[in-house]
Amino acid sequence: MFKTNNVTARLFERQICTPAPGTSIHRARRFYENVVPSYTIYDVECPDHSFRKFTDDGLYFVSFSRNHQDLVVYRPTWLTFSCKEEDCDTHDLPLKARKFESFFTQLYSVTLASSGELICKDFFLYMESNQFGLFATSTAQIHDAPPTGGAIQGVPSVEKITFHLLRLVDGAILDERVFHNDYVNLAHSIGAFLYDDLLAIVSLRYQRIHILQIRDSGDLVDVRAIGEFCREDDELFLNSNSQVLVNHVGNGFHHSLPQSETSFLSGIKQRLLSYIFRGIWNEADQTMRVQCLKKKFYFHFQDYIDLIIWKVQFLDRHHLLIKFGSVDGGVSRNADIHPSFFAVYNMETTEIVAFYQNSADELYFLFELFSDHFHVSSKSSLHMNFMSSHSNNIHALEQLRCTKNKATNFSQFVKKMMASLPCSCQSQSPSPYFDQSLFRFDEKLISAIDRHRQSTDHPIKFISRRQPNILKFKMKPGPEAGSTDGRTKKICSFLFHPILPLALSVQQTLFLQASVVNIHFRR
Amino acid sequence: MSVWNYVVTAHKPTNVTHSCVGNFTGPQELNLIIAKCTRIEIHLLTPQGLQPMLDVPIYGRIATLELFRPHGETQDLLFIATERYKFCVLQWDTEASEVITRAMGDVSDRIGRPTDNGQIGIIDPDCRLIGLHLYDGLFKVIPFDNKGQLKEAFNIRLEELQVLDIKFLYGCPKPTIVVLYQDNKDARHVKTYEVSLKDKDFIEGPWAQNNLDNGASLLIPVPPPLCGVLIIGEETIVYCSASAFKAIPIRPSITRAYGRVDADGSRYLLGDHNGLLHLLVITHEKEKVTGLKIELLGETSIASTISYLDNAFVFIGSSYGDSQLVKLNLQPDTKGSYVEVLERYVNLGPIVDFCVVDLERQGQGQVVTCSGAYKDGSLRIVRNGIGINEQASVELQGIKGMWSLRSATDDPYDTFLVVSFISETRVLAMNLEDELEETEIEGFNSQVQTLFCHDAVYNQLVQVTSNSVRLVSSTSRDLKNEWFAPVGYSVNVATANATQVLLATGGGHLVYLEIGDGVLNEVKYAKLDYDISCLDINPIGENPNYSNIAAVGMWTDISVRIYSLPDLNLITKEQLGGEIIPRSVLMCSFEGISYLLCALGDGHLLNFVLSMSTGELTDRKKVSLGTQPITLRTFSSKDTTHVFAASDRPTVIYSSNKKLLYSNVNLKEVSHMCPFNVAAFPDSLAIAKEGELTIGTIDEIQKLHIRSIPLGEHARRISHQEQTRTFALCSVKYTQSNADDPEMHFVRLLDDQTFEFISTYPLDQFEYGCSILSCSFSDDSNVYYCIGTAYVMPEENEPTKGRILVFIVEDGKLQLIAEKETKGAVYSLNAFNGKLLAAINQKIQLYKWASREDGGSRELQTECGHHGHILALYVQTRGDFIVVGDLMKSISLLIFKHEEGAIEERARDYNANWMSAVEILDDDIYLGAENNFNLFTVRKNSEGATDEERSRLEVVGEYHLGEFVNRFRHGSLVMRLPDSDVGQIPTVIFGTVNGVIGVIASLPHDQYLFLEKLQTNLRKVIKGVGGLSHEQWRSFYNEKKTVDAKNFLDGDLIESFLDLSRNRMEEISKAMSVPVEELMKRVEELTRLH
Repeated sequence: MFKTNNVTARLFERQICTPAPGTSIHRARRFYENVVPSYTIYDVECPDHSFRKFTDDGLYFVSFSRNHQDLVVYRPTWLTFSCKEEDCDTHDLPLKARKFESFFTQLYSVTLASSGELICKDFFLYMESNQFGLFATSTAQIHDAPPTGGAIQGVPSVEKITFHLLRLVDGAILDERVFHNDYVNLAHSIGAFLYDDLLAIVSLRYQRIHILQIRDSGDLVDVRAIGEFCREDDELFLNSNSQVLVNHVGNGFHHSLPQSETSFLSGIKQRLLSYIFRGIWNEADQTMRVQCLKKKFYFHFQDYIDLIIWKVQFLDRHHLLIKFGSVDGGVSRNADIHPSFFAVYNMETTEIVAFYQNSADELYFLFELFSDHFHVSSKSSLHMNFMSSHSNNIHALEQLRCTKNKATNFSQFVKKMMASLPCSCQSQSPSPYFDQSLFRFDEKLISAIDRHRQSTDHPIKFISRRQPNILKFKMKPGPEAGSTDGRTKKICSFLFHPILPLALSVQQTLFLQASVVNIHFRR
Repeated sequence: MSVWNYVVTAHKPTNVTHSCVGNFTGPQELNLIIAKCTRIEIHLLTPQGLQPMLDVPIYGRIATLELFRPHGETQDLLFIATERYKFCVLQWDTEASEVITRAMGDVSDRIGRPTDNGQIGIIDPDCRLIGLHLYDGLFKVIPFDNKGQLKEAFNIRLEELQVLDIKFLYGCPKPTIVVLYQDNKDARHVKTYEVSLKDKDFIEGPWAQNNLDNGASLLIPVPPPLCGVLIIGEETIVYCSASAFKAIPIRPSITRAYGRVDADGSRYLLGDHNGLLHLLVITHEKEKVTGLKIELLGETSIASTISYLDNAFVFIGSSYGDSQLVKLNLQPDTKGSYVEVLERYVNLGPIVDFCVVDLERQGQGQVVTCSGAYKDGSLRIVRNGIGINEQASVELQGIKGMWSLRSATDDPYDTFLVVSFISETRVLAMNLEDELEETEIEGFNSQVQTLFCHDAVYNQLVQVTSNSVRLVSSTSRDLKNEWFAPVGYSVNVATANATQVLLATGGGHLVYLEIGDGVLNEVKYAKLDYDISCLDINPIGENPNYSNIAAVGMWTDISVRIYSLPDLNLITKEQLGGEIIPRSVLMCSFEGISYLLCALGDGHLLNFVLSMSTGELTDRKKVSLGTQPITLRTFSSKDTTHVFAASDRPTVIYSSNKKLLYSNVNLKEVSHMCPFNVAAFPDSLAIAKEGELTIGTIDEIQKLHIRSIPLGEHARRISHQEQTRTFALCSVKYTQSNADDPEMHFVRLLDDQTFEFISTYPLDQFEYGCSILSCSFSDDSNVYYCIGTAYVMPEENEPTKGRILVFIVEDGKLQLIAEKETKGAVYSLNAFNGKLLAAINQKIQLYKWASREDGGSRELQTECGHHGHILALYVQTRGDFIVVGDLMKSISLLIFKHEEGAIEERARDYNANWMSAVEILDDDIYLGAENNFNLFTVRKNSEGATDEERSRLEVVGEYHLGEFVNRFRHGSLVMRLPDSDVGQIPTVIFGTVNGVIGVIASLPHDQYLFLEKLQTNLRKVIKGVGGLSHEQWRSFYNEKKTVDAKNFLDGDLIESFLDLSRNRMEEISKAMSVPVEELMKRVEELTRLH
């Protein structure tokens, strides 16, 4: 591709050379080596919002008001300013560069939360094809809620959770979906997953995966609910069967079943158990069959019965990757210690296709080789396919192998890696500055994954991949003078624009002081 | 409003990206197949050279072009894969002489990162499978079944993530690939894998080789009996197989292309980045490789492909210069080169910059391009239409007809030029000083108008006047015989050939005479129903002196008829329709097909295929050539017959690929033309224009004329200065000898007629010329060349320093008048309100041309500026508006506010487009080209309800061009006649990396809608080669989105309507409910845009 490093020489090369087939995008991305967010404006004067993220097309910047009532959407516009005469040659930025509004134009502010609800500031999914945004509001959670109406014991309850579908162009609310006395894990959008127009929402409390479709018209339409029932007509079928039973009672047959909802295993659980059973049955030869079943199935039967759905993701339009675990693990912060299981479920055939424990090597190796299959790529745009992973980037793979080799206990390592599955939806920034074929950086300090991190005083270095000794730019989230008080622990999060050399770093102390926002950009 | 745009190619891509050789069109026929990015050409190797057989567009950018032969086939099939993940297998249909699609499909995957080093497509030499490497870490396999049909594809995980090349190995029991890859420490290795079709997986292959040359980038698989692979590095070449490893060092070079010479794979041609051609020989004893040898053969254009044809003939395809047909000689020439260039195939690519000028000042635009790159850089002067190179001219008013005559039947040259006026006839001839001089043919009647003249057999000449036919000896010039028109009748029209005369008098009387030695015999007479308007007996049958049929055009019933000769029986009658009478008929033969051309009084021309045996007229077509009556005449140029249509828009009619083509002649109005082939001016034409008779030669007959000015260096920017009649260039010269400073940058001044360098200003070391402009400033009548430069330090990310240099041309020399240092690269310069507007890195800056304090001299002073771009690369202005194309931030619109003296942003397109060129179409519509080969238009939204809406440029048009546009310029390649419909249509010309010159025409809305409907219907009738979809191909496609094309039409598709058979035209006509004639007329008008 480019033989030179200077952007001007590269521009001339671009005018002459046809890139190798299918690499015009790669060639444009190489310009990011020249165009970097190396300049920082510290402590920008900005509204006291909680800044969520840039949409993956870079058209919107989503934030919530501090009181968690309003959604405020900005358009990233970039700093522009005029200069006159000699001013043009000076290298200073005008005063307005310190203002947030010089980089972002507010499009609108919409009140989402009402009657005791608050916006969940960690939750936001973006449907790029229609420029729709999905937001969530909820009331406070009740920890020791009684398991009424078929709910699972031990899962907290929230009186009202509302999902709001918005058209981001103008902030019009298109549709809402309310869950009452239910529990959806909204932190980091864990409880919901968007695949094209299909949305999966996991009700932990009622153990249902709600599959919804987002229509172009902006309607949220129920497609199916997986859990108690698997097929659309399961409920009908069961009800009509119990009708028959009742009739039999009438005809003098002996015991009648009490109409208890716990008497049946849920549909998905039944599918799971039968898959496990048949797997063992087919695997072992006839003589060992009973032994095996005893050891591997019946012995664990109650454990399997007690499994609950933790998290779900789409693998494609038909297949879900479902993580099962104990009730405790489903709601606790640190789920790593709990054993868990993964199932691949086909929604159309209602069959379990595969089942693994979280320590299964086999699943790990699939993840190592095909990790891109666990991330959603966009149907119409290629740029999400450029996100680095260890199955498409040699440096990421090397890093993974390094960690793997360092791990003293392989099965612990596998469990740790599997803890990230199913992947959280839209949790990675597609910013090219995280493309590991372009830049090397310390993943402990910064990464494409949208997470808060402990702030460090060290500048974060982005080093050229192709010229291993060239520092391309540094980002320093702390104040320029360095940390004033070493004892106050700070949390820092980075929000990268997906396309432009523009990033925000938001610094928060653990106490509820106003956050400090820095803008990193190419001046 | 310029929202509705029509995109058409004026010059097709010429950058050769792929080529291959095989038996495609027949088991015994050897073909060269060339891909030019979005087109393929099929050539046949003949003893006379390469003969073109087919040139077709592909609806995609070609990523892979491979010939292969499945088991049981006697000839090769062609596999093509496109960059947008489509593939097809093509087969030659001998009967129809076209390609048919054997298989096609889509090989895209939703998941996967598109591979960094380019898509790879390869076919197993034993035809068991096709392998594709499209996404990092995945190898796609399309297996063949045992009948040679393709089966369903599957992916195999490929562990190597930085793949540089993959090839199939020859002679392996299982299909085996060899992979050249780079590890995470940038070391390069090769590895082999067997493909297990059963398990759909790889099995570790027979061998591997670690730690190769760091520049290894190319694998050449060696066929049996040797097998194995050659690994081409920058400093070494290695032969590797399971049993052998041989290496030789080479002079550092980057090998760009290779071609296998022998079927046994013992010799290869390698082409490097400097255009040097080497021969690599694998020495072997029996089947054991003993070593490698490499030898320099000579220099060619920088090769992108090499195809060894046969008998030491080699095709060199090039991206940076003309492609070549070369012969490898056994003995070196005087310069030590074994390479002899036999033929050059013009390549305009890459067109980095161009300007539109009217050098001849005829109102005809010409495009002067900066073409080629590195050592193959050149200027190309591209002109539409056929030029006449004037040799001599005399003032003569009122010419009514012209004929050239020889002084003897076997004289190869013409002697006399008979010029007829309303009441006299004059004879001109060349005198000893090669001047045209009046002379006399005594036997001719010079007191009256001549209706027709011709050479006749037995050294005789024929003159037809209104009352007689005179037969004159061409040697003695005496009258030998005379035939008189019957009393009361006068001859109105007449025609003749060497042995026959046909004439018509008033009242529809047709008289046929035959010429004997000294006698004129009236052979036949016929009375027709109506008056006769025109006649022709041009012999196109077997006998060159005698015609069996006559063509007759009629008044009143508006028909053209074919009569037999000598008996004057009516064979065919064709009603022409309409009310315009035929004014000229002509029978002629092109490429073995006979045609009847019939020109009407309103500038329309009808053509028919004429059956010489039955006299039948078929395949009627109508085109409009002008608005005035047309006179048709044949002439020869380079041993080929063409037809000249004299009218208000003179046209040459010729044939290519058995299709009639019309090329306009770059003259304003021609009333008469006749060939005048004299010894002093061979192959000349005599042309009667308004009050003038001109003798001149004609350009080669083709639509676009390209003149090459090789520079030996690479011109990057060009500007023309009308006042000084000069061009100025920014150019770069590469020197291979000086490794420290391999590039030297210059500003060059050229004469716009001779194209010679007349002055040079060398730039500093590392200083690139980035922009160039000819302009003048307020309060200063001089014109200047302004040059924007950048100091491009190799270790810097981007320039921090540049200059603006202001030159004046004095006595043909560049004089530096002023110089202003800038804080970055000056990517663009524009004249703006009498000031200079520069784009410098991320800002736009306006300079005024102010007097220095000393009073006399002037300097550039900063007036104001605007920051807010990533890199402001392309700038266009209109009034106070400034349109900026950014590296990645699409298009933004700035305005200069006079009151405040400041530049402010008015609106912006917020999409992330990586721009490659911008242009302003009108006040509100701006055109952009972006990195992924798309075009788009945006509209200023002044009427928006909110500030936010007004600050957004709305995307109104999107289109996938498939070409990387480097420059737009307003202008036109054709003479714009104000009275014609197309004269009102504004056009923009673009130039691309592949050497395409295209035209974007902004159409009125109703015309756009009509053509859009036509395009929709054409898509149904014209199927893309390989079954590729036109709609998908033209959909806007980049890393962010794929959307259907809108508000752009594909002119190439629409104009291909004219190539359709009558049946298919009628199919479309029916679907559109528009008559075929009307459709043809409207499409033909569009072809006049380019």
